[in-house]
Amino acid sequence: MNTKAQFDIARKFIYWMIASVVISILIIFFAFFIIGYKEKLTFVPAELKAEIISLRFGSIEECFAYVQPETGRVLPGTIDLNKFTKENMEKCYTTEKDKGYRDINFQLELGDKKLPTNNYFNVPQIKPFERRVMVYNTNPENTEQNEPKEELLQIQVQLSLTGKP
Amino acid sequence: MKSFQNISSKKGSSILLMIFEILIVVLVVGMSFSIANDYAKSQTAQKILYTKDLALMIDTLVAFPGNSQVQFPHNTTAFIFTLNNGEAVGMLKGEENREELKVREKIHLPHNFEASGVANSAQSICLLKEGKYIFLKDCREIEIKSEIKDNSETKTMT
Repeated sequence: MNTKAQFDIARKFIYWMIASVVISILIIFFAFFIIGYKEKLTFVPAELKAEIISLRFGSIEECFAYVQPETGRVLPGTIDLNKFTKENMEKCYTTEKDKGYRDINFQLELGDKKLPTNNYFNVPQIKPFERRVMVYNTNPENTEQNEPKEELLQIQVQLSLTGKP
Repeated sequence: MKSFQNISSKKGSSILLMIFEILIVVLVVGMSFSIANDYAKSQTAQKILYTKDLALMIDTLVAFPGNSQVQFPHNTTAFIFTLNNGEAVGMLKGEENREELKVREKIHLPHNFEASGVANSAQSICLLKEGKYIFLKDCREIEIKSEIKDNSETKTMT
């Protein structure tokens, strides 16, 4: 091998060393780009999920919906004030004890009553949802028993506190 | 001996280097394509989307008082879906033993509610809510059951 050939090989070696670094960086960027694209493609807004989950509060008897005592029918879009308690909220919607802050949490506000879920840390991240509901008071001590009143139910939403769903 | 001399000469070494370069370029391009293909495969994105949709459908069903049945509006022949309490799991056929490829979506069920079922390569899948139970089933299974029920009812009528 003459000196020129040796010089050529050395030059190519340096060239490939630089090229391999550049190619590696390009591949890493490419991989990140594709992962980002896939996430964009499959993205579901957390607000949508929160909206869908929050539908249950005034719709099912396990949450706060009023049940007609005569027929046993559940009236959607109603709140039974007697059921508007922390115990009922735990039956209706709870997140994991330790890592529940990563999930969606809510605070319901009806009049002056506030009812948060177990991992709500008062960090509302989106505009609260508002729903018009018929409020029933089935408390036996209530004199105006079962006279429904239209009220505004405000639902404060705390999305994942880690920023990841 | 002559060929060895060719390789060790300037011309030989440049041919060797060229082959080496071409090999590296082919390797890099091939790897990039294979990674891109894996990630951008429509079924991978579908798997994630369908599992998310399924979890949202369950959350919606929970908020529905009474019994109901919903049909998932896509062909799911290439997928396997399972429902356990607390999560919907989606995978492609053949990924049953590869935990890292499964998609998991949390479901928030109220107290005493249960969600279960498996749909293995079903053409269409249905979610059935009966009281506090939510079942994931192959729609054909439900159709067959309702046909049997209808037949037995008509028999008793006659």
